[in-house]
Amino acid sequence: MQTIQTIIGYLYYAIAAVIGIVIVANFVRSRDVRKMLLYAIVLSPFVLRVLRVK
Amino acid sequence: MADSKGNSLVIKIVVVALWLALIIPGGRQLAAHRNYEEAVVLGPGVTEVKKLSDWAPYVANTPNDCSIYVLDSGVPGGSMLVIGGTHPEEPAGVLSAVTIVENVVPTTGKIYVAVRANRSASTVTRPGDAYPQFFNINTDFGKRTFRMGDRWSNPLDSWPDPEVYVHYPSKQLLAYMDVRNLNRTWPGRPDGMITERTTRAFIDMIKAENIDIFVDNHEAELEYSVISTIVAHQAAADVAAMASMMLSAGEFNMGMEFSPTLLHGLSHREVGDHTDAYAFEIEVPEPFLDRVRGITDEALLLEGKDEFVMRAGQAGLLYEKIDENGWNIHERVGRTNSTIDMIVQMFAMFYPDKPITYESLPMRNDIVANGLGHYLLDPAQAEADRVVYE
Repeated sequence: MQTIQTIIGYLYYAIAAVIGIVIVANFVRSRDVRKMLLYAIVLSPFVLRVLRVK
Repeated sequence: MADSKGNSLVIKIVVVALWLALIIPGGRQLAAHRNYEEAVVLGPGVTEVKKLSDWAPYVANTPNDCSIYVLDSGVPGGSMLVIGGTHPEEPAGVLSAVTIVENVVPTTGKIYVAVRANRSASTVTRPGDAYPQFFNINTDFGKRTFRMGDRWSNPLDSWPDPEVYVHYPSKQLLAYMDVRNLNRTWPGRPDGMITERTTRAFIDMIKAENIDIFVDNHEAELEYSVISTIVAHQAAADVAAMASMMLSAGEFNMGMEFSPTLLHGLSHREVGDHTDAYAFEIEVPEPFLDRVRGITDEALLLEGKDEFVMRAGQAGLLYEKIDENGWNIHERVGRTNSTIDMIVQMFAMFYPDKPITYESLPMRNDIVANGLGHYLLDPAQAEADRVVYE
């Protein structure tokens, strides 16, 4: 059971990283300042989780 | 066109700079809290410091392989395990355990103490609820700093939560996040998630050491009905009822409640069901936890004064009294200690063949008169091998 939990945990970190990359891509493509700010704010929890800070 | 692209790039650089300016200091604060080493000084009664993994190898190398402080009188008698920090957002439970480790000298029997039973939960707070990261207790030598924590284990140590938490072994369905709640995962399992493994480790320890009395220190919001009370497993009801009567008649109001037989995962239910120990949970009032509270800060945590909670009390919405004096940390830790002491005394009355006696436990009147800090030792003055970091 612990092995399954560990695998699922790693998958969630991978999902968080992928979502983070998508947000960064959207940020790079964006030309609207409000959307840039929004993407930056939304990105924060994903970065903090992938880096295992929060 | 070129100007537009140039402007966009400048704006992006500014936004990234702002983002970094927020996330780097914020991230550093979070990391500093998670990695803070909280000192516990070994008092004259501590004979040994073990790790929970000494009884349960399956918690080794996890954040919840907490220290177990052993206070052995060397004289045969009963044995008691006191755990603080089941919910690290309830600091009186932690501080009560610290005062035992730093002051008590056992004269009969054996006492085991876990200051941070769910260490993982002490490495995270609730920034969204404005929880402080640390709290400081004024002492005779300056301030002692402790980590503030949360009710649940750190998601960094247990992620993701299941959609529905199916309690083991009862199969009762509980709230998903309670798979990280140390008081919903008893009796636990050795191959479960980290909080389930932790409770199982304590069960294994209780069985291996033939613990007679198990005490789980807690605090409760005044909006919650289980407050200022001892919750006891039915096997321990006589002892709890006597302790409640003696305390309420002589010192302060302390009720007694039976552990619900159909609500699983709680320490007072499962420790009583799965071991021979008499299981007790102590609940003292903590206005900081009330949802109607106002400013949420270290002062509220330690002084327990809040005008909105008071107003709720005036409206008859609370289960415990509160006035302008609030519920300060001295009163809360003092009541916890005096309740533990009364449980021990009453247990000895019922079971004279298993006495637990000790000296120097700071009682409620002592702590209120002298301040909690008077009973905390100075890590800087202690010998290096008499200081443990949680």
